[in-house]
Amino acid sequence: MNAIRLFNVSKKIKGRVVLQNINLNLERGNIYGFAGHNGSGKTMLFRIISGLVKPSSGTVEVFGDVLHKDVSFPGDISVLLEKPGFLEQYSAFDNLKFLAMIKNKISDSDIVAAMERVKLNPMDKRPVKEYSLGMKQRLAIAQCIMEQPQLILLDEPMNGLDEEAVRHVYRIIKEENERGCTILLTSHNRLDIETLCDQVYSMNDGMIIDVTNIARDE
Amino acid sequence: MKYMFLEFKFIKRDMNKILLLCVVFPLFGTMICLKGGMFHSNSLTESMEFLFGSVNLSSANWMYWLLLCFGYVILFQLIWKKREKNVEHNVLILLQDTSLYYINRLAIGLFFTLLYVSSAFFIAIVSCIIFLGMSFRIHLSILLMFVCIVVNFYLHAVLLMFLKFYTTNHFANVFILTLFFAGVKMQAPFMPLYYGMIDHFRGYHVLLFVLLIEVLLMLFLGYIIVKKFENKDYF
Repeated sequence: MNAIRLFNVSKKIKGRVVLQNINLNLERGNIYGFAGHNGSGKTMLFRIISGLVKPSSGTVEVFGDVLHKDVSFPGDISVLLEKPGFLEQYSAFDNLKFLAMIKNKISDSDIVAAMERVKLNPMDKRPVKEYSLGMKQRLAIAQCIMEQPQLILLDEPMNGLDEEAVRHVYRIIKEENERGCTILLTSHNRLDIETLCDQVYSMNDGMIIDVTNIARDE
Repeated sequence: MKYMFLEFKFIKRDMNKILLLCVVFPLFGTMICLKGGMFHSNSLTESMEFLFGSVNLSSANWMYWLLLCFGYVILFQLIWKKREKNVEHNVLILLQDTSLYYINRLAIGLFFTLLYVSSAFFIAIVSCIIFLGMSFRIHLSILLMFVCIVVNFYLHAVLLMFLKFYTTNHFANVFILTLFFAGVKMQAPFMPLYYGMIDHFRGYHVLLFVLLIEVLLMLFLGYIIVKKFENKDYF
């Protein structure tokens, strides 16, 4: 079954084409990688799939709902775009609790479990502004997984992480995928993508120029 | 209510400054008026009408209004401050509804307008009672002045958000300050945007008409704001 379908999606910003005729058909339960240099359109594609940006032309369908027609945003999604952002004056736990309050479908213990999965201390009362970039990145990943969504978009999730943390995030991504979650991720590092993904889309100048299937070691 | 609570969480960091503003500007203005001997009457209602009904009675009254308006514009710099974009994006995705998010922002603005104007009235009433020995008695005209000022202030706030969307922050702030400055000075306002002050509209039918137009204008601007944000791209 399809998780995401894009039909001839293009985006123009102030006359400049940033995405051009993107057609995608992504099945549920896979991990998809998007590779390409800065400005190739990866982040813009993620913004369009998450509903934050409207395409200039074409349609986006997520879990059968046409964005900006049936729904404004996909129903069961979490995103990490570019850099993690939080309410800096609050603790990590309070930040996650603040976001969890909106849907009100998980308990405090679920938040604690998500934080422990990314090796953050839920009892840490320090405001997030005192966290390092790596800790903020891990907190953003905790936010993405805490509600166990069906679709996760991770834009450069390994930014600011040391080698051990990267391996740990690999493990989390695989675990999330094993429970049936569809994951889309971008990375500058080809190794991240080849280690994790089932299929890799290479982008350049707002277009998909190549698709590669990767046989994963089980 | 849950979503209103989220709004409070967003502005919690500035809450002390917000509350301080709600007290300092009205208090300072009231002190100027007391020092300037603006209150000649022994009646609380008449004194309140002097203070809130017009600006043409004395320079102290004019100063009071300028302070009150200036404080209000600063208040909205805090309440509707630009937010960390990734947090805002996550909230929008989780809410799945941009309209709800901006209706909440507008609602929180109305709440703090009520708080600010209530604080101004409270400080003025208490000052008159304590320093001038007036007896406490609420007259209908005091309530009417309160409603007029809340509606008029909030109309300026909605216009501020509207202008921020279409122009720049800087232009919107300067424009609203200019409107306030010009508005409080006008002897005979011909546009509803300029003060629903009770002295300008002694005939209550006219006042109610002006209030109605202000409320309709406010709803119209609010609707445009919500619709515009609905169709906006969030980069």
